[in-house]
Amino acid sequence: MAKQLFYTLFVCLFFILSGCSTSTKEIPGDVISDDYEGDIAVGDGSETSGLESEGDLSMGTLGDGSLGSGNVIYFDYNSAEIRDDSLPLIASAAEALTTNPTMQMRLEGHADERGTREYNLALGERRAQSVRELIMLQGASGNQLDVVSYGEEKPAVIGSGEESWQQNRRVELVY
Amino acid sequence: MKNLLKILSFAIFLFIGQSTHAILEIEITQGIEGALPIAIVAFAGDVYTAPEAVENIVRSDLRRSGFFDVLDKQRFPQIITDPSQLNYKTWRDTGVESLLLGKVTKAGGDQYRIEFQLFDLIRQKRILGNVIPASSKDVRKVGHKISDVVFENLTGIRGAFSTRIAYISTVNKDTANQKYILQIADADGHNARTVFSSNKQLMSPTWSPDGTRLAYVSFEGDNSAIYVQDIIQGTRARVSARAGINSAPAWSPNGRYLALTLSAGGSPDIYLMDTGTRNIKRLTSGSSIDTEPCWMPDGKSLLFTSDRSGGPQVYEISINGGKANRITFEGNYNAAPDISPDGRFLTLVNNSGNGFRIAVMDMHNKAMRVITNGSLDEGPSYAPNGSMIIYATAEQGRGVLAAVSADGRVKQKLRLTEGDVREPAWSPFRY
Repeated sequence: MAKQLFYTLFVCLFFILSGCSTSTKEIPGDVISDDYEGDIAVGDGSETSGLESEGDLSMGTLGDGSLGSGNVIYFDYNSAEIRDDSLPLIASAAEALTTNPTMQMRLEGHADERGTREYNLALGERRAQSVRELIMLQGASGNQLDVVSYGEEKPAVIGSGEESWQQNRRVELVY
Repeated sequence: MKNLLKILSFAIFLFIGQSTHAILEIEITQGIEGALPIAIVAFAGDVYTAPEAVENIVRSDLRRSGFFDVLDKQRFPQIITDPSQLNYKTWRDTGVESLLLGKVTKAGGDQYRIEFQLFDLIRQKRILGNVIPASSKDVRKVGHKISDVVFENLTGIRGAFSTRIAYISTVNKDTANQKYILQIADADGHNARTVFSSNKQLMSPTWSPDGTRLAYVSFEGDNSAIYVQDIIQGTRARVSARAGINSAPAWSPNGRYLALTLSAGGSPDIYLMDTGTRNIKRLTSGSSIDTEPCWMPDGKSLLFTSDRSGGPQVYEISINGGKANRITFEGNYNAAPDISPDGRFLTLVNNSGNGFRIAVMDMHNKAMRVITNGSLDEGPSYAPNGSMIIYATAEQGRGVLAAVSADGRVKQKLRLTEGDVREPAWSPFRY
């Protein structure tokens, strides 16, 4: 089974997210004049890029349920402790990374909507860091693991109530 | 209260109508019991009856403040258009103690002269008389200015009606076209303007002390980064995009420093950035979460949220670093502190078991009072005169802004006609 997991991870190597950005100092944004004269257009201040590929992606079948279910590790409320049920996923991720030293993995930490946004941003990072540490303890290099937190800004599920919240307290393994 | 404040009777004679796009709608959900009666008389002459009439702007401002109550027009003892007609006694008999008389005259082209006079009905004398020249597009500005002057004269507190609110709104939520928009609106919710929009998350807008710039967090580079935007010129600069968290910007009172939360050093800690050199200095350390810095008004220390004792609580640390002192103890969750302009009160998000609510704490005796009753209230921000606190709350799953008087007695909601709205930040005084 471990071999199968590793194979799956290896296939997914090709889908590495790049997180680079420009270092522009001055970027023109939308102007608001102090005397409120005229209409201000809603501009798209964000820089966006076009679609990368026009071709169709090839897709294989995932061999294992735990990896196929989105590579997500869930957490208890206001906690960054790894639960026992997440250990197999972490072990297989660690194995994939140690077997493939060039492999990169991005750990995206998230929180549910309860509590303040800034605290949740920090909590999301703490969750991603605890996943990172555990993967590193199992042999992966820190250089292979990027951590980013979205706090409560990118919920997996919309809605209030424990059912939604549980699905939002998570770290996603993106590779 | 009734004894402390003068009662205002209010007659403004106004005539300029103008349509603007009001994106935010305001509903006053809870008023003061025994509020002070104000009479607002519409001029019956050549008046535009638009809701944009100065009379209505001032009435709405003073009502929202919670300090004044509007006397029914049916109870007006007389119709007056000139001070010479003012019968002090008949107005006083209705229970009012002050009266505002307004007048607008055309000064050629699109120019107007807006005069207003405030009368003390008890002493039977004029307290003030002013004139504001303006064009029709400035009608809301004029209304807020009059409200500021009247409010300060009768309460002794500087009016904050001419201030603004920055906030984040989300449109097309949960669709491919989802947009995050940083907007600025007048303090009464009108004149909403977009200053930045993105298809990636935006967070934590905060005003520079001179009101010309906003610092905020944008995920446009697929990680949190801090930007500073000049809201007049529209130019923006990315001031921190380090590995890990770049968030929670807060300007020092003199505008020279930004306090930030960065986690490049291992865990989220508070840093100070010199906005000129962009050099940073670390203030806190350790593995705890330290975030949400808020400057004390004297600029000598910062409040921040930390979970070093377990759950999140508010601490204070000198800008020179050193030991942080815990200052909140009530409830298992105290976060997102904002200090009142006089430094006497702290507003924050508190959870004592009934959900996340806004509380106000007396900095002297540490007594805490919960002043809202939502379950997901967050982001409290003081008005620059300390009279109101604006915050974000959920209403049937939708984000709306709400404002509450600092004593918790007056409540109002501001709804976007489209989308969600959250993370309000009240501007400093503009003039």
